[in-house]
Amino acid sequence: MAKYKTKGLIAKFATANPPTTQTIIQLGDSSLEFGERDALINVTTHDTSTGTHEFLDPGFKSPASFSGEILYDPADQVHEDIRSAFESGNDRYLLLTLPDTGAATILFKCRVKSMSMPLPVMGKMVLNVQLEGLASTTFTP
Amino acid sequence: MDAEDAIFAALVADASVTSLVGTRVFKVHTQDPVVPYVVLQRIAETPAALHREASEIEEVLVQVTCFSTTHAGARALIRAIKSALDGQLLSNGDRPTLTDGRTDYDEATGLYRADADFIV
Repeated sequence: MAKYKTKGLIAKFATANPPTTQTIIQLGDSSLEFGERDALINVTTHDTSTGTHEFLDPGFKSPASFSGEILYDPADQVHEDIRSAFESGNDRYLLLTLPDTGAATILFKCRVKSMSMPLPVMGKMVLNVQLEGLASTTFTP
Repeated sequence: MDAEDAIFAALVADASVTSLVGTRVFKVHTQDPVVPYVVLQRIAETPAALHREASEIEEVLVQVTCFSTTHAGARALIRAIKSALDGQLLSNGDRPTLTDGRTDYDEATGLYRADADFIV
């Protein structure tokens, strides 16, 4: 079974579905949350005989989300699109290509939920971005 | 222009520094230079860890060392260097930040030395 390191991730961000050329350059440490399934429905009934509660999955989960550190360049078009999307609240698409042999992809519609930029005296201009999914994820292995 | 070149340019252009050492600011320690003089040394560099591209930014630690025949002379020179560099805008767009300083007697050269470390 193959094992992979994470360096080499490609993230693209655009209005287009899917993004094609709009690579988020200078992307540093990042994190992808696949979402969380909704709380279980307790379906324990009078004839539950095992002494253990019974549950059903409700069939829904929350969308994926992505957070990342970007060495921010205000003149870069994609960095500016991220900032613009945050200000407007408009939808975008995020396409992640994993650095595995098959270049698996994860695509979802999202919005820019939050941005922050620490400004220490001795530091790099880093934009911390959180993207929040708006619908289901398309995974292509 | 990298950090050392930018620091070098700033020092050789600063009147307070050149009044003490003229153009005797070196990027490597040369043999038997005329005293007093200044030597720059890149101590460490920390690039940003990125997924794809080479880092377009790095954090560089540069040590600036002043050599003089007297302790007072080394101290006067390092004070001029600190004024010339700490928080000042270099020609490459960086602003060095003074992080540490030391004084000592250098057995190898028989000279007094004063060091200042800058993060760029």
